Amino acid sequence: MKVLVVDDEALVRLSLKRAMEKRGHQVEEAEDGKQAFERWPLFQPDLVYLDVLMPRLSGPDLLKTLGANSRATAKVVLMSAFTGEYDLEKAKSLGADLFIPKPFEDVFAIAQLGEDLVRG
Amino acid sequence: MEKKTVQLLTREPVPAWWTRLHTFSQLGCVFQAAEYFLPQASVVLIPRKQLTEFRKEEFSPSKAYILVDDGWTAQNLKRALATLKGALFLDSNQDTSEVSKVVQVALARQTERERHGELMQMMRFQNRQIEELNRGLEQTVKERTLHDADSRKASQKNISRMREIIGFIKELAQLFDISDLLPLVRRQVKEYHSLEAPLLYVPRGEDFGDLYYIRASQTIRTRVRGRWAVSARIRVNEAEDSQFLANAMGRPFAKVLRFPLITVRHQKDPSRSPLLLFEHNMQTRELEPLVDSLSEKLQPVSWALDRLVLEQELKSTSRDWEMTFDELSEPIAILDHDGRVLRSNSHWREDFRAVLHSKNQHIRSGARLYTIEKYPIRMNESAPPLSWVVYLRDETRSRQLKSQAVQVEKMSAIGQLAGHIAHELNNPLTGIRSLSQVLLTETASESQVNKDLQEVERASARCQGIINNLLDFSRGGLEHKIEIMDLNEIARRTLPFLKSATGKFRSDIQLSDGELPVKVEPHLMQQVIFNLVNNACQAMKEQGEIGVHTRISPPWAILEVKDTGPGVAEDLKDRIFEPFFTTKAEGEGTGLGLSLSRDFVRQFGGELELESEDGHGSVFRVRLPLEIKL
Repeated sequence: MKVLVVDDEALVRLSLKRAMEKRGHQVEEAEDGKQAFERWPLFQPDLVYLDVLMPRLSGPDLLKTLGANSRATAKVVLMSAFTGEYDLEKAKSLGADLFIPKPFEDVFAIAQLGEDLVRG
Repeated sequence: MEKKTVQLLTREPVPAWWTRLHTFSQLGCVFQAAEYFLPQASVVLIPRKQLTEFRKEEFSPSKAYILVDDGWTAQNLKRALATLKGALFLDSNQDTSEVSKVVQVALARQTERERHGELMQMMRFQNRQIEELNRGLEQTVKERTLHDADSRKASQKNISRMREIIGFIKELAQLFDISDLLPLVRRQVKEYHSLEAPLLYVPRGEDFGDLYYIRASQTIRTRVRGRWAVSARIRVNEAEDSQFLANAMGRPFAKVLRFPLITVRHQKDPSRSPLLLFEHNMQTRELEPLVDSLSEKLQPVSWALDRLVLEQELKSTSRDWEMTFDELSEPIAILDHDGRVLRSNSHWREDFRAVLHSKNQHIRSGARLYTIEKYPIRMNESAPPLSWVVYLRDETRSRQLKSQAVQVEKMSAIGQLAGHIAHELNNPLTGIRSLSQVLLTETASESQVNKDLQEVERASARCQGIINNLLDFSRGGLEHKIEIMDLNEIARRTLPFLKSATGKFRSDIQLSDGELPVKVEPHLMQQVIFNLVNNACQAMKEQGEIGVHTRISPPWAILEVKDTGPGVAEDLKDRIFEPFFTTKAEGEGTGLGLSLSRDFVRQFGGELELESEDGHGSVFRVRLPLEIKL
């Protein structure tokens, strides 16, 4: 499957990218919402790991700006370190499918959650 | 004119000379002879020898007597004269004409005597008339005199009645309380035996009032509800009045006399006048003088009542004021200019007097801190103050609250800052840990790189834990949520923050096995532990050992913080829990730590105690009620 990782923290992008690639997926990165906005329609990912707080364009704003056509069938996992402000319900109301609080305990578990989401 | 009778007193046949005298008609009278005195006889001829048969009293003064004898001697004549004074003498041997002359003289004398008698009678009559007139006059004079006395008596009675009323008014004026009015009125009517003790009704509102009555020589007041038509006239035997009183007193009432007491205040609206009431059993005709005599006394009673009600209202107003003054929870007093206390409430202490001439704005008394407020009392704006109201505002609580608010604000600022830092750290930390996890899968499990990566992963995991605790701790300043939590867990989360404080001391942490569920606000409990450990460290200064122990002592969960410092002197043991009490230098402590900690622990149903021996360190013990397991 095609996975887009959107996070302004390079190490987070790198680790998720490596973990997903190890599981045989094709991964692209974006440093913020703005980059993601450009790459999403071209790459047409099946799964997007999307950070909330990023410079230029935040995760929720990206979801709002992105048209239904551009988003297509991609599943979105929203991630945030401000766990107090977000939960699954809030994430779903913003158009995401899953919410994962940061920091992660285990990056492979996060990868597994994403795969399960796409496969239903 | 009636003919006069001339009698001869004789027991024998009449003598010849008597018969001869009959024929001598020129005398013009009737002759009669009899053995006894004839009442009609004007002239009586008595033989001398018979004279001794009579007593003096038997001779009537209205008759003329002639003594008869046939041979008068001087001796006989003398004796006869002694017996019957004023009698005439006749010698029966004399010529008829001589005898006739003597009778004629006797008749004339008798006639004269008769006329004299009439005159006397007339005079007696006139005398009697004069006497009667006199008597009438006397009577009149007597009556006059009596009348005078009566009117004097009447006016004296009037005066005494006036005196009585004046006395009554004076007594009324000396009354202090409405309840004394009834006994006074009762004394005024004590002569009316079929009149019961008076009652007094004072309307207080639209449909209620106070009923005063006498029971066992005590005046009793009772609040009575219900509408009662009051009018300005005296009412006698109205069924409504008996009914109302029966309802109010809970017993049947006989006939009722009702007098309105029209006071000055009720002149415009008599429907609010007080009423004077008497239960009675009198006939209507008996009532009239009673009503008359009472009516004159009603006006003074009204005035007195007016004054008493006013005084009562004044008293209750001033009582309200005094109670407010006394009930104030802070010290207040009225002082004269020399600082003498004119009035003070129970919180006032004698040594507060000094504040009057002191320039300080605060005064401390025990654990309490007061702000001094002084208000001068002047007759007018330019006059010097006569006295002062000194009010000491208790700042202890408000300062405490202010400090608490500052504390909360500080915590919330720290919380925000910690949140930002945590977020900033969390992101790269997530990357480091996740990448280590990925790299771990790419290296041989026994290689050195793998082992190093494991260290990196563990270190970053520990960092995440610390950051999470910091977030929880700081977030506590904003969220106040009581929950059941393990006291050991709270201690474990708090202790890492104290590493810098406990650093140079040996530490002895002994947490009990198993959980100690307690119902607390976790962040406040963290603050308590933080404060106690921090205090313990500061107490030791150079070196020593700090201990944090937890254990179960049903029904309590116990947490003890021990130090090996100098301990707390006996006289300070109570004071160290007082707000603002501190032994630290200015700026190093607020003096609130222990006070707040005790507040918090008590808030959770527990207690914070100190066990300390001077020179042998201190133990602060937190006791919290054990909850049922989580």
